[in-house]
Amino acid sequence: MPRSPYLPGDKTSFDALYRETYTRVFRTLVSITGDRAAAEDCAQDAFLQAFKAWKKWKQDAPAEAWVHRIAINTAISYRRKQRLREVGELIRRLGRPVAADPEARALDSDLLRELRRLPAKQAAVIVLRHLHGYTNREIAAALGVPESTIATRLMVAKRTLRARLGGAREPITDTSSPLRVPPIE
Amino acid sequence: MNTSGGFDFDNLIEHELERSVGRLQGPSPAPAQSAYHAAATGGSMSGFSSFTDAASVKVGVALATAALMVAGGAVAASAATGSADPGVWGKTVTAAVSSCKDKLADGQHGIGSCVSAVAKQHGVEERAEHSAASSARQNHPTKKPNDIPGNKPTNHPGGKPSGMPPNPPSTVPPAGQGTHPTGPPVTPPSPRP
Repeated sequence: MPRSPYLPGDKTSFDALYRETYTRVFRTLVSITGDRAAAEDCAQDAFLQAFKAWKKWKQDAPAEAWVHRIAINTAISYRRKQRLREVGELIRRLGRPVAADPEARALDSDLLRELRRLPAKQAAVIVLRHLHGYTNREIAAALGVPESTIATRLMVAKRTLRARLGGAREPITDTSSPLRVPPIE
Repeated sequence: MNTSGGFDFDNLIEHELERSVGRLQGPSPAPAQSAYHAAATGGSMSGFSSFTDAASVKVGVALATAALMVAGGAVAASAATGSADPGVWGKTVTAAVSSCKDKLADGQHGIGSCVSAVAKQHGVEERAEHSAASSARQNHPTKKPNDIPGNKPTNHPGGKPSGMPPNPPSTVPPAGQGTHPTGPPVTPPSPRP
């Protein structure tokens, strides 16, 4: 494994890591949370936590994977809280029409919506694999779980996505979406 | 790779993810605008501030303890000499120390009990003087009510209660026969059914 350019505990190194990885971490978080503002908050929170633990980072693990792990945990916490908020929101808005948020609509493709319905850990595996191009081994290292667990999560997540997206013959929100899933054979 | 009927589901996911979030840019990846940077600069200050807070608390406790010790010493000395004036009890103790030293033989130590006895004796005398003076002051017509032991405003005719009208409020019932004029107002007992 090539030597990491980052130095644990060093502020300048962390600044470089932040500049290098922020956008990718942000995109992962948008995919999991489905909310740009929430993703920004989670990203900032994740980097803050990473910074506090920067001295403990071991150079043999990729720094970006390590940050991703923290970010995904942040997103999982966010989604847990969000679910509780949504229950309250649902009760408050019962019977009223919900105003359409253009920002939310932009992120509301079929796949993203279904990703958000998945357990966060499964969604994270899909994003790391298919958006960032991580291998199963790298994802396993990032999330601190065995490679076989990653393979299982990927398989289950894709099966669920395929079933759900295949069931929606007509795209609900975005007709220009290239996503056209044929029915499962 | 998952393929079904020539359709590549993995490619589809990749394509869709890239289309929807792959081009998203975060607000700014400038470290100076990040939360961790703010925490790093503010954090060191807050760490320092908590240190100074703790230090100031410790200093405060130490000062309070010292003040209590001094006050305690003053009270003890005041009790022993019967005077609140440090000059008085200082002279008393100095005189006691020198007289006790004179009483001790060469090489002999331990004047504490001697000094204590002298101070106590002096205190008794001083207290007796002060008691006499206090009882004399109690009958003084211009005495302020706040100086009277008990610190209760009274209906003393010559007294000048601060901020009070010269006459007692009409709601206060007149003192009954045999009650002390400076005592608290006597409330009449409520009739029982």
